[in-house]
Amino acid sequence: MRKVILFTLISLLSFSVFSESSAPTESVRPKPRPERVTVPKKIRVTQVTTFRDTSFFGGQSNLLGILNAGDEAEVLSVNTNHSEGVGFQVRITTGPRKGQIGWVYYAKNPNSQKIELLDKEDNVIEMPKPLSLLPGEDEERWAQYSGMQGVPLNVQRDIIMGKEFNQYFDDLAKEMVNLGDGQMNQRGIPQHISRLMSDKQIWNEVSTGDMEIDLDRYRGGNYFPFTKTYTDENGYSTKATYWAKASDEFLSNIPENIRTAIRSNQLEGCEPSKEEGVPNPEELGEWNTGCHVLGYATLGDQHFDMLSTCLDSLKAKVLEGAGSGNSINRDTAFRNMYSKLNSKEQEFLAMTITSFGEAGILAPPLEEMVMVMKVLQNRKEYAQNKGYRDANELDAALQSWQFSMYNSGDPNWKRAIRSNNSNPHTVNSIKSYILFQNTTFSGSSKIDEVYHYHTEYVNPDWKDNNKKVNPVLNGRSLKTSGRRHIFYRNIPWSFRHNNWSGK
Amino acid sequence: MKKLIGLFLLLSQLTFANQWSIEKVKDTYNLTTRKSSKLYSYFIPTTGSVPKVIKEEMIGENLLKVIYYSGSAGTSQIVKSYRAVLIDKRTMKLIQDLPFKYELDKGSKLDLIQPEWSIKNNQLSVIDKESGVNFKYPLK
Repeated sequence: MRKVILFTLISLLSFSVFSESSAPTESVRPKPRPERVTVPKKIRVTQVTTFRDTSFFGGQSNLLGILNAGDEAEVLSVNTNHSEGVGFQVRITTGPRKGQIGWVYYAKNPNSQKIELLDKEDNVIEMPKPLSLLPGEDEERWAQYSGMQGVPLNVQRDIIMGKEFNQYFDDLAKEMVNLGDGQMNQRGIPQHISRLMSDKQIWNEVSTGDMEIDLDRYRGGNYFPFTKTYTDENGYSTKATYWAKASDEFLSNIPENIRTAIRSNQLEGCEPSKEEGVPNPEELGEWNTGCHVLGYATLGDQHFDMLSTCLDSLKAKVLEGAGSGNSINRDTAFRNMYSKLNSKEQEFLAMTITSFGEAGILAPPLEEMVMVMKVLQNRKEYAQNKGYRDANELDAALQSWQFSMYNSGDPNWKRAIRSNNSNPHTVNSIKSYILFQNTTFSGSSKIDEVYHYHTEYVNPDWKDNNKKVNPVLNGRSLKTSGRRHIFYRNIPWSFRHNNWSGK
Repeated sequence: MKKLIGLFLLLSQLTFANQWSIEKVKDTYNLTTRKSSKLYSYFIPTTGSVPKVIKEEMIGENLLKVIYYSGSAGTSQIVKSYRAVLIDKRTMKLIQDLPFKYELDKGSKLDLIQPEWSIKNNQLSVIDKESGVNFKYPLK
């Protein structure tokens, strides 16, 4: 019945508003649409609203948190697959959530809007209005314009405004990169920042059956389309499409029929990458001396010398202008880690010097150092899944007070940075980095949720014996007595960017 | 009479401070209050423990400073962090979330450098060498 009424109203509208016989008089004709629409660059929250991991605005499953009036964010992309509004993917630019990426909702109905859209000069973008007057202000003129006799004024307004609202976002699509299926990206936003869901998340959902492969959309290449159906509290469903890169790591865990479909399509449509496994140099920037090795798809003992040369050159870069010996300037050194190293080099440096300073004294064996690397990687992935899409292992390592070796009063960060390649802890940290690439972790099904550990001689208030984990690396257990670290899974914490990264 | 006035002032302070609460939203914590029946909710990062509101102070006429315990962190030296949220009282807009004080946990030995809060020439300044914070805010 609702559909019949809606159809009647839309028919009435299209016949009367846009047919010549009942065209509005000059005094009430809407202003001509500008050739180019203003692309929203920022949003500003005007009322408390939800902030979500995906462009689905019901329930709590994808809730990242709450945004408050005054919070501001940069617009990354827009999703128009909603009937009563649109979703904006944004990166927060103010307050403690700075750098976090997520989705906010912008309703068609002005009374339900909790954000406002801003242009590049911070002016509020007014949504196009069908007339200079609203129903109720001059009912005779309004009725002449809408032609909807006998229809409640608020329903008339919603229909006309909805149409204008949709038209605005159709025009906006022409100004942005159209990703298809109602998804539009701001130009110039790197894909790794604006991607709609991480490959890992998508493959996890494929493996649990929450997403289905959609081969009709597949046109060759390494990225495959998957669809997910969301159902809101009122029972309305929307379908969203996600693209994920196929790799052996993920293919082993998915249902047989999907794996077969991907394998056969890959053979037909996929041109192998020229440098398989090598990170995109445009995203990474230049390599420092000897660091091309970090781009290799696999690392083994034969790469030790190259990694050693690379680590030496990275440390030299970190110390540029930062002093030497015991008088290294911590601010300068930490800033250099970001400004002089590309993101893969940042990861390598963070892994090696953190394992040096935190667990070098416990090696050999190397497993304690490798487990420190695993915690860094887990923290990075936690941060990325919470919307800090550009977070890396260095961001995790330098978060204040987390890894004690980086405290300003602790000597270990200096030792780790200035030690050369003959230092046994440095040697062990490079060996551990190679071992880390080839390690199978077990001992708990929640090993990917180990974000916390402490030495056996401290007693933090967050420790929880029920969450203790005894990690097993390549079948080898870590020490359970004496000098060691005690690891915990899933202790609540919040990631935040440090002040040296500029992120 | 003096005692009565003292008691009244103490009670009004308590009521004022109790306007704030910590609410868990999924796995994050928010500092929450109501003003003129409107809800205001500010995300506060934590470091592994349950956060707690400590006290509320005014800086000048319009800047609200809500100090909270944000938890303890560390792998070999455990440090307790207290932070402060600065809010423009007229607009209730969050200005910044800043380090306020650090405390060493029992058994930890470390030279702590405390965040420095100062007001000079009508400007609030917060410098924290530990986390690299250098924050300035004009007081109107």
